[in-house]
Amino acid sequence: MIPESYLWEPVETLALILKWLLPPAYLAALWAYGRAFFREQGNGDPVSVAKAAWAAPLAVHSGLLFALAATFRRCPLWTQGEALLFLGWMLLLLHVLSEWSADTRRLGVFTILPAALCATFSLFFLGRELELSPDYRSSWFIFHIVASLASYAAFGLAAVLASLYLTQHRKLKAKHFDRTFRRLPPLDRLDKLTAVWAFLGTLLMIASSAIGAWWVRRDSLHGMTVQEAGIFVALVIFLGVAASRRVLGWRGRRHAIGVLWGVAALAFANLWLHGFFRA
Amino acid sequence: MSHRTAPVALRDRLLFRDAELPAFVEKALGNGFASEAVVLSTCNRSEIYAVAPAGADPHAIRGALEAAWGAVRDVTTEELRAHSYFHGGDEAVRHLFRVVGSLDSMVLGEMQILGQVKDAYQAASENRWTDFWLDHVFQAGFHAGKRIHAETAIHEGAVSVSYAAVELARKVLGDVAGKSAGLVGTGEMGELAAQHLHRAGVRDFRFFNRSPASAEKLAATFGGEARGLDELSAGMAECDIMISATGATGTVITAPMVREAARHRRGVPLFLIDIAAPADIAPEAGEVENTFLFTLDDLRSAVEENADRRREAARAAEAIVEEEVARVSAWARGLEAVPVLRKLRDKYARVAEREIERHAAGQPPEVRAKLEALGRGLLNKFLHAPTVGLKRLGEQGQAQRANHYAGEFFALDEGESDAEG
Repeated sequence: MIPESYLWEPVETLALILKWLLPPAYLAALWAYGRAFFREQGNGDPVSVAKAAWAAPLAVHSGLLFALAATFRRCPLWTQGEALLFLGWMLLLLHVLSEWSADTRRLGVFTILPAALCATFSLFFLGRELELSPDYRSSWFIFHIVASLASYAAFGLAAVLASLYLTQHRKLKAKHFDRTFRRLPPLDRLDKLTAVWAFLGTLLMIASSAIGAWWVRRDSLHGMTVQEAGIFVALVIFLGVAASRRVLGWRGRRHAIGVLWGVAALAFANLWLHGFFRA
Repeated sequence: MSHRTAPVALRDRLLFRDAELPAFVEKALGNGFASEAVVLSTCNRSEIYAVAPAGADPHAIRGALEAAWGAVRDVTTEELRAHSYFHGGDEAVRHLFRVVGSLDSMVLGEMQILGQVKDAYQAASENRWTDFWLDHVFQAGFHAGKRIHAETAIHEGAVSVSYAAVELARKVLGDVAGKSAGLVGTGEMGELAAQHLHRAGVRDFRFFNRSPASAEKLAATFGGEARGLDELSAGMAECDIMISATGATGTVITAPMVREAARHRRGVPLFLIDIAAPADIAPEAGEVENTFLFTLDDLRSAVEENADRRREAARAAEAIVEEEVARVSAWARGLEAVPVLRKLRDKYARVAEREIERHAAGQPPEVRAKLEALGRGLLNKFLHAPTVGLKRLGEQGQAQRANHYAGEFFALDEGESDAEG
């Protein structure tokens, strides 16, 4: 009789292969986008090289998530590594949407970078990660966390665009018309894209908070944790940013700075304050 | 001749007009001055690209063409010769490729010339003035032009002050089509900037001027409204782009005026261009939130940077031209092996035919068809290596030697009996 551990598990093998393919797929995409942004002259048209550069990471990343789901027979969101991998996937999806809506590939090298970092970092976490407390393993958790990660991805993208806005703004004010200035899209477009993603993130975070609040109340899980309080502060900042844009006309630089403050608060709450996961 | 060799007055005088072009070219072709011709005539150059008939002296043909062209315009051959240039062989190909790649243009990297050369070639092609040589060379030229535009930054960045203003406006506001623009002062620089904005799609203009008459004139030309200078403060809030180009000695647009306009605009960016000397707009206006101010000096420095970048890109473009010229040159040298290849093929095709005839006599048609296919197949296979070798040696400039040895090895100048063995 052959021990069960000796049997070949095709789905697990596929997950293992995809896990190792993930960083090279992102690297290839980053290389293509980097060429489109930085290369001014040379052989070939760099922008056409970057066409659908996201296809390989999207295929590998989606495949890995499905393979993990098939292996564990559950939604791959119950550990920190899985959550980070899922966040990377959401960031990649939003990158594709952003490329389509901004109608330029020049931003690709910046907007795909957070997805690449999340995906690569998650690989170090997978296997020796903090696990979700059993009390929280509910389908409500999945709705809550998916909306929450989608909002983080939208905020992440908004933060990248806000940083690019501030870079371009600084260059315009300093009359420093270098290659980065020439390659980045117009200020107005960067401002509008930042506003769209930040607003979408705010809506998703409101939805996530509402689901979460309803769920913990129903199951009498806990009161507001320190981390949730921190996230709530970040949500208030984002609401303030959206309202000041609408009511006071705080567009451009002020809006970009507001978005970055919101993302900083969110990062602080998630990285330094205690939350769902336990050692 | 071009802007490099002839003054504008002479260039204008010798410009080919569309109506007189067919008569001139057909006469040149009919008189045997050339076997193929393309005439490129723009405001900066008038050039004839011609193929000399076999055995003709290209310099004599140049003289004949100059005389014919001069006669049409009443310019002496001497005067024409003093301002014209002549290139032959690879030099002519290189010149065409540099023209197509806008390396020979007055404004380095301008985009129109590629279209102008395409139009000239298309006209010649439609009239059947081009054939084997010019068809190949012009297609290779378009390929070189495309490569230069795709692989270098030669066309990037504005190289005139007024266009640089429009380009910067695009960097702030995105697409300027559909935006509103205000112009203070109705001088030449302001009008030029309005022209560029109009070309970029701006249709909503406000012209602010002390004298209403000249503002109304511009409003009639570009569309929009004429307003007095007293309405400037309120009118500025309605404009996405403000260009000031008055001859005033003091400040026309102050920081409080801009602050007030920005307040009304509720964060929508305001793009200010000051192309007046001395400046019309207070420098502090550029510090107002969501307001971007650029002066004549800023625009000039942007133009200089762009020109430097274009010059740098031109070096890469010259390398592309050299690559493409080398390719055409190799192709032309390879053609020198064609007569020998034809002889070789004809000779062995006849041998194969005779052998097939001998063996197929009295055989049913299907056997004959099989023998013919076998003969063709063997002929192609046997001649493949010598064909490739001869072409390659031709491209390497050794066509004469290769042709000589091929003639010796395959006894091409002797009867077919040798080949039968």
